[in-house]
Amino acid sequence: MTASEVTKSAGELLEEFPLEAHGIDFDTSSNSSFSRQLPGLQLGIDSTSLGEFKTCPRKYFYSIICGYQPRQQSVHLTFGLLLHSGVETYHRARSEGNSHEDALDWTLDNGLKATWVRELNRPWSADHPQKNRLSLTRALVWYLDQYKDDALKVVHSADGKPLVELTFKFDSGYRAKATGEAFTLCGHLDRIVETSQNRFVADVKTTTHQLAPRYFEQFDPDNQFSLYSLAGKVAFEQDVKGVIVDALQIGTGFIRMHRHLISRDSAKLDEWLADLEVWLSAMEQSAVSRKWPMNDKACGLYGGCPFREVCASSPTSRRQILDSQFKRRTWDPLITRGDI
Amino acid sequence: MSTMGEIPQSTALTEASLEDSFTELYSRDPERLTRADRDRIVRGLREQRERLAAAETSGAKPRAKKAISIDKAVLGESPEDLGL
Repeated sequence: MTASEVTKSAGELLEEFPLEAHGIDFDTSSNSSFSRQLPGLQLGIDSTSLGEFKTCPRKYFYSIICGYQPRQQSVHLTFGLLLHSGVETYHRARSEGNSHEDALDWTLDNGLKATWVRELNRPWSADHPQKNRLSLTRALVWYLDQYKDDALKVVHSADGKPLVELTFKFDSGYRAKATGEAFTLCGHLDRIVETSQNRFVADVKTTTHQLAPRYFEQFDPDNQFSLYSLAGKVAFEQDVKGVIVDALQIGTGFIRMHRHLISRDSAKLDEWLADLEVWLSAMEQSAVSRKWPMNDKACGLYGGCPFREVCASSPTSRRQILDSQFKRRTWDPLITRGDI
Repeated sequence: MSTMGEIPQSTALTEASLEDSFTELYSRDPERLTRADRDRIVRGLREQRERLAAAETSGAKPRAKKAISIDKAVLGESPEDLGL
């Protein structure tokens, strides 16, 4: 069957497509970002989901569709989420008229509470030399102090609300050929800010690596920042010119910061959107055929794929490895923030 | 332009000293911390930042060249306007 075949009823499709692929069962029926008609077809797509599929369809199948993730969440993801949460808390407080000191105190208070394991009555133990509870608070204090009188001002919507902690969801303009359902693009933006001349999406990134030019090259081209720029234009109707990224190098005992502008003009975004149609079509084709092929040239990227051992093993033993070394969770970008 | 790229890495001793001074505060249930306690944490972190900056200006080894290169030609933004 091909994706171009005419739309079938939900019952026909469910009967035709059992919830199994590559020897692994999956159930996307309770995930609001997936089609109710075609299991395995994601309709609410965030940058993480799309990025996983672009990197390797099999990785996407394991992590997004089946929901497998390493039993211990990556310290980098945890740290990034905590930092984003802290920065958002601060900007929310400032936008409500609080002073820098009061907003910082509120942020620190929330950050310390967020890193306290109440069940064990002890602090979060990251067991990482650079990314840990102390460096998190250091990053918040140093970074927010650095930009307490920021030249970048938060944009307010027409009804006066500050454009911070923004959840977006908008129609991509594309539809699944097999079911007729619309593909929606979704995610979260930190802030939309403005200078005297232009508006930008603002984002914060953390790394343990040096903030050399090579670090910033990774954002252009970049799936996440293109989507963010598009979201700024479409979902929030702001003529954003790109993303301003505040990068924080988290060292042992120090934080180094650089602010960098990543431009996205309309021509680049048009190109990204045109390419998106091809990627969505490929995602649909995988769901229809129940085949998410391995990209075996991507196994070593980004420090190594967490599923490398799974794919390196015999197909008959993969299920056992997945169940023993990973846990399952539901990745629903329409509900939970997971990208940083 | 941000000056944070100039801050040198602290010594392990500095870090250990800072951690020692915070150990009690960081090990306490944050629900029981007062504003004054959190102010101590903020003060300590700020002092550490100042010490590191002072060490840099007093002759610590120079850091790598700054990484930022703003594409002014694209948007006509000045670094000051961007808060750099």
